[in-house]
Amino acid sequence: MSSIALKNLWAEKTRFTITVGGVALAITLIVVLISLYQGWSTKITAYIDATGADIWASQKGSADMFHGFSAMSSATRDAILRIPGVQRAQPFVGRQVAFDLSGKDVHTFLVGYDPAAGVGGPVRIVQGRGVTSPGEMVIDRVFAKNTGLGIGDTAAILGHPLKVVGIAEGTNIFVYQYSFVDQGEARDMLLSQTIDNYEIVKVAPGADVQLVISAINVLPGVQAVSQDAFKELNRSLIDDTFLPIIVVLAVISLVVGTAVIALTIFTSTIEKAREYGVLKAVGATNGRLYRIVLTQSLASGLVGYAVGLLLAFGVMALVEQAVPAFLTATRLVDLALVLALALGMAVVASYMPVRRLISIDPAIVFKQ
Amino acid sequence: MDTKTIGSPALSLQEVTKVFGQGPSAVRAVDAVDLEVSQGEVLLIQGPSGGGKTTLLTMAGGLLRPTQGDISITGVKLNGLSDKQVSHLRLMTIGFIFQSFNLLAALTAQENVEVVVRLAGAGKKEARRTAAELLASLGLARRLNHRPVNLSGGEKQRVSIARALANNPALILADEPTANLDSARGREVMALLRGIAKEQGRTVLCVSHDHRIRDIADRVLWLEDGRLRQLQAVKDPVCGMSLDESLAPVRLVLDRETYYFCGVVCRAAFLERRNAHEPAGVPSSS
Ligand SMILES: Nc1ncnc2c1ncn2[C@@H]1O[C@H](COP(=O)(O)OP(=O)(O)OP(=O)(O)O)[C@@H](O)[C@H]1O
Ligand SMILES: [Mg+2]
Repeated sequence: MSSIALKNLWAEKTRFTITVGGVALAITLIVVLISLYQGWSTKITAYIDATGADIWASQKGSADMFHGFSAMSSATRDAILRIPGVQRAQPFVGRQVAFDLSGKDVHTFLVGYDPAAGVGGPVRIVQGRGVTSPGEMVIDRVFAKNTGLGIGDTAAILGHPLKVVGIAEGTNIFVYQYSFVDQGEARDMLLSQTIDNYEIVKVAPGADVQLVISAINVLPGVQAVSQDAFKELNRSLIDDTFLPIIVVLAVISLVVGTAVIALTIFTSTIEKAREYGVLKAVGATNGRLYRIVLTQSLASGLVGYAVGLLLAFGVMALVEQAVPAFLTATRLVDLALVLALALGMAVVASYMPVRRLISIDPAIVFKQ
Repeated sequence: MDTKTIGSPALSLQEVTKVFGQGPSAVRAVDAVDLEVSQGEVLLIQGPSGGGKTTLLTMAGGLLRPTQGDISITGVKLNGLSDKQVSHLRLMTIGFIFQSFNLLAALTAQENVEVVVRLAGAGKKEARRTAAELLASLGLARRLNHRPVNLSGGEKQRVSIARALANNPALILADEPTANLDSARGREVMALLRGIAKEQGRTVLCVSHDHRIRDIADRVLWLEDGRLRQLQAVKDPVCGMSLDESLAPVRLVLDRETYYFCGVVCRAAFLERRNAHEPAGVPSSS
């Protein structure tokens, strides 16, 4: 029976191509959207991951790095260091800044780090070196590409001339990129010498993170969250803004893909009504005929999925070349999910044709 | 349910009636038909267009339930069976042959036959072999991989005969199997069906307009206005010539009476004579 299904599909190549095309486009869109989401999701927290923090302490009421602004007295750090179980507490100094670059308005998330402490600096330097003194800056590869800045170039940010000494990777979060300067200089530029934005806390081996968090939360005007919770908070930047759009687009794609399969299989079922009638007449049960339609649907869904996947990878490769900030990450589990969606589309799409099959009267075989 | 009751006729119809529609527009397509066809018999049913031949065959094949009456196939009463059981009975006991062949366009000759063998539960290999053997026995050994578009009408009909034979049916039902074939091919197909009946003990019920195929049948019945009867010898009322009712070249229906003539000349004479006895201008009432 399945061979009838496949041969029918193959005998109508134009229709099959339309079906596969429709499904493939839907799949492409869904895969690209999910990959984009995953790309942002993982990269947006790559910097936070790289700090190796166990706990982030901030000013009460400003949890993530993008939506609010956190500023605390550096004395908070001394108080945190006195809590049992705390191994290290380092200041994080940084915020988004905008500046003029030869007439163009550009912005970056400027971070001041202490090269000696080795915490909170560039994730991976791919060219040049790290910052060793004030007046130097490490920028992200994507930022370099977007702005045309390279090693040896100088940009003036908030009145400070900064010379690019290194190019880093893993610090692009699509909406902007991190740039790194000397921490003392960053304090001058952004705050004051006695104010930190966050405290990056590392607990001693074997210490209970939750206990330390509770202890920090007791400090006046301070709140602490675990590394995972902090990542989650920062991820909300995209979860709140992009996720609904992604979901809406994905749902539309699913509906369109399903409709394309349903319509083409349905019209083919109508055209082949006589042949289905013949099969019924010679003794095929309805169940057998459903299987033919379902096989056609599933085959269309599967081939559409495969083609859509190839297209998606092509599109992502092209876009990543054209737009350096474009971030995608494709996980196997997502591909499996999309496969399940494609098969689900096929099953839903076979509903109408199956209904049509039931109504075919085998007596039509005797009509001319 | 596919146990064939020994000694039963291959097909038996008792008081079978089919009415289409309701009220004044109802059509009695088949009207109280009694019929028994025995094993190995070739029965030909003829009759005018609209006489009910196809309707009768459709009911005999379990594809249409009668309004009234009982149908048994190899002793199994269709009345008591569910649609699914009837469907299985069709698969195992009946072979269908159609005027328009009804082959599946996307499949090769061999696959068209194979499908039916597979439906009956055979494995892929066995089905392929059975299909190839059947087609070869019908002279189509070199056409196994042809699709219907690439086959001639006669070849297509032979493929459909192979398909009809695929599961060793006791009963073969054919509706106008020769209508889309030239007369040589038509005779060939009918001879084939007769051979199948006689050599393999299968029953063949064939309905057709085509009287060129009459000599191939064991028995010929006439179905007109839904009523089945023996063919009658009739007489031309003018010249007195003996005619077979199905073959009479000219007929005339007047006042629900059918007259048969050897030709148009006798009919003209008949009308003239009749008009002489009637008031002018009212030829058809007496
Ligand atoms: N499904 C149906 N609904 C209503 N009337 C029908 C139906 N099928 C057949 N009829 C009517 O029943 C009568 C018998 O039709 P049937 O097709 O059995 O005749 P036939 O002898 O096969 O004719 P032909 O030689 O033209 O094929 C006709 O008057 C036809 O119009
Ligand atoms: Mg007919």
